[in-house]
Amino acid sequence: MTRHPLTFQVLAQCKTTKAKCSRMTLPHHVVETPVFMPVGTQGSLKGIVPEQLEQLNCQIMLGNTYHLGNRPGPDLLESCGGLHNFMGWSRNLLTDSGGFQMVSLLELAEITEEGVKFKSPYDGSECLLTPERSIEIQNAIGADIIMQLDDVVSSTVSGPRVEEAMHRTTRWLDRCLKAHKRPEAQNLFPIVQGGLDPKLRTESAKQLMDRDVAGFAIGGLSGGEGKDQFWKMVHLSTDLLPNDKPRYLMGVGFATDLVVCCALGCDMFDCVFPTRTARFGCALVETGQLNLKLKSFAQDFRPIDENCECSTCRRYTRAYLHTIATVETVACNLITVHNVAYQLKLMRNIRENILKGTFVDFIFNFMDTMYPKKDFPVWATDALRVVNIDLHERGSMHKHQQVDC
Amino acid sequence: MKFAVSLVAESSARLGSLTEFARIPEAVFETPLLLLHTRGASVPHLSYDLLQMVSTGHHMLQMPLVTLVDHTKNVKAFGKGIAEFAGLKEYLNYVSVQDSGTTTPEGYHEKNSISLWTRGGRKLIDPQTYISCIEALKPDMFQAIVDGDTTQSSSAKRVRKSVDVTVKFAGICADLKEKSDVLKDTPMLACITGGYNIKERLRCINELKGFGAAGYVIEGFHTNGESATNLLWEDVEPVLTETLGSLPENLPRAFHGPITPIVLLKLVSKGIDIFDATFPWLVAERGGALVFPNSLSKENAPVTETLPSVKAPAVVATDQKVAKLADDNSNDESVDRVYEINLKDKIYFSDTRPLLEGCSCYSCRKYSRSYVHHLTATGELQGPILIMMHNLHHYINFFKSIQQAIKDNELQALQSKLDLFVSSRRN
Repeated sequence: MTRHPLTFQVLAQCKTTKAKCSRMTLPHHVVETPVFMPVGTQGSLKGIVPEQLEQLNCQIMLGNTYHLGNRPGPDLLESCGGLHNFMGWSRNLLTDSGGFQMVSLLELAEITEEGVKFKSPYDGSECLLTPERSIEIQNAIGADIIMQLDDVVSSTVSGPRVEEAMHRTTRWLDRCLKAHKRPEAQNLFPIVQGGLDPKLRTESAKQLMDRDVAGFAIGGLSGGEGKDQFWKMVHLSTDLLPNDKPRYLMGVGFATDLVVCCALGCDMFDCVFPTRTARFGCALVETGQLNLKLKSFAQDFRPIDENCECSTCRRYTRAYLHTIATVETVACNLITVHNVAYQLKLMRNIRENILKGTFVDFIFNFMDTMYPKKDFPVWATDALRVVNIDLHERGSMHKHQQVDC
Repeated sequence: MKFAVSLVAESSARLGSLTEFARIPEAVFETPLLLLHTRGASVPHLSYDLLQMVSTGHHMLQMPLVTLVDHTKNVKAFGKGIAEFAGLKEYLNYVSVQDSGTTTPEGYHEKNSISLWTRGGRKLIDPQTYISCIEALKPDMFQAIVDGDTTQSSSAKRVRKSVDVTVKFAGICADLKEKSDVLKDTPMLACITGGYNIKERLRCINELKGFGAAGYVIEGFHTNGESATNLLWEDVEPVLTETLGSLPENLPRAFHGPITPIVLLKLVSKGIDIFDATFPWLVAERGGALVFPNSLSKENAPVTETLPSVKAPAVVATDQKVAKLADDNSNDESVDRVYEINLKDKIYFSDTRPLLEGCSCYSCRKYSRSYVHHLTATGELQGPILIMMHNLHHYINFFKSIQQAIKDNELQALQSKLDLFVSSRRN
């Protein structure tokens, strides 16, 4: 076994659910998990500077290989000593493989055994992203965690194409591992595929677990499938993947999804939603989100969240943000700072409650606040039930727990 | 508010101070003073935290009413004024009528009101409405409502009317201010209009006497925005000299708009005391980082690199220029980029140097031109943030150098250094 530049120490395991709190040490910084990773697509978290992220105690952020590979390109990044130096971010980075963007952004992408063939949106020329090329670019970017190129199939597709993609993903993992030039500095994560088919997903996880890797990603979800299918695939994947290695659920970032998927045993999450919605003037709060463009905020002189400690909430009111949201770029900076603070605070609460052994109570309180009418989403109720939480039986659960203690 | 002139140089450049503002009595502003320009009551691209990374000192913000007028009702309901409403209560603020950084459309005159062009379109404001807006905003200083819509090509009739209206409005403002509990003690700057006509300028000054102005704003030489960057000094100078010569010496004089650094030094040498930071903003908006020498100090590393040469802007007749600016904003030849480097230019793709060597601002300490180029090429919001932080830092220090140069009787040397820089880039 190679010594990976990643250590993963489980600090506490929830007694009821599959949630755990861990400390993951990467080359640039320690990461407390479960963790949410904000997305800085092109080497910048839109509208804010790294110092602001550090102040929020953000320990890891994402970059997108597809975009960075185009601009500024791997040659420049390599000559600058990697993306950390280029963008002035001294903590951890994670990059995706570029495959997802290619399939979702480009109409003309064609997948062969060799790789993903696509037409460059810049000059129309034909390009090929192979597993080797993806790793070469990611080696130049230099993120602490890098992703294998996987064969991404839309989660709404079924049939033989899903099986083909699952097997190809394993073959591409082997090519990625072989092409990886900096295993001592960068961790390569494989991605569990297999669509919504339990057999295929199980097979995929087993194949990937035979390889020597430091952590695993769960992919191919959050792509338009029903939530009832989504959570079952997450649950199944975390049952298979080892508990002593980080599990990264790709593309998940809504608050309810984060809480439920932590309970299902995932450790890492990313999503553009909190930062994207900020740019449209939407602020995240415990009860959902506030669209600050609405007239109802014109004379609301409270901060976005009275209990939030972020620099935006300490100084700015909803009424003021209402006047500048989507008009002045300052609003983007201010709401982004708050939304990232919200996500990180949610994750901190999750971790602290797992550590204290009060994660189950936390889930009840969280759900009651988010859904005051108790109209919990059916999928969340079902998903939590498999990890021994019945949202509609709070009282009895409490008694049950007390007996446990 | 108290204004005191402490030194008048041979050239007529003045050194002074603005003090004793009611809300922040300990604040002392040395003149020539740079007002930090805002839109929607925030410095463009910079939240409070980012602004603090540029400067932790006392600053006065320029808040153009045109960018706030749609929200004055809510500021009024808030009750504590615009500074606190906008989360910037540590800063003093001065409300101006138009946004001097943005071109004000010419024409559209009404007998009893002026036009403000807001996001929602044209809004007519009469002096009564104007004063009630100011009452809601509770600024620390404000400008009297003004018709400054004149350029070199304005007709004699237009110039005369601008003076008539400005004087009439100033009278109404002074009257309403006197009767207002909120504004009684708030300093108001009266406006001198009259275009490029000395007689009209002097008439304006004469007719404004007795209105109790706390200072003056010299309006009517341009219509804000890009138009202010192309002032022809030969045309401005004689009118300005006569105008300033007729103003009381014990009151501050402001000149708004994104005038170029060389013209700014000339205005300083004529005795203007207050300017705004629209120039560094305008340059940042087009992806430019200021690199002109902003100090006489020898500690500052001299610019050793050969900067790309910059052609003098084509001289276009004013009315054509405005028409041209209307359809494309800054790519035309009348925009003079001699004080900046253009970070959108591919030549910076792999340039590992900071925006300006020797600069101590956040952006220059931390980032390369290559990264800022990447941000501007990809349209990332952090691009204008970093450039704005640099440009504002550069301009704040430029004003410190100007004050020092007046003290040391070296304003001419600063001017020569700037002239030399400009001519070296023109080859």
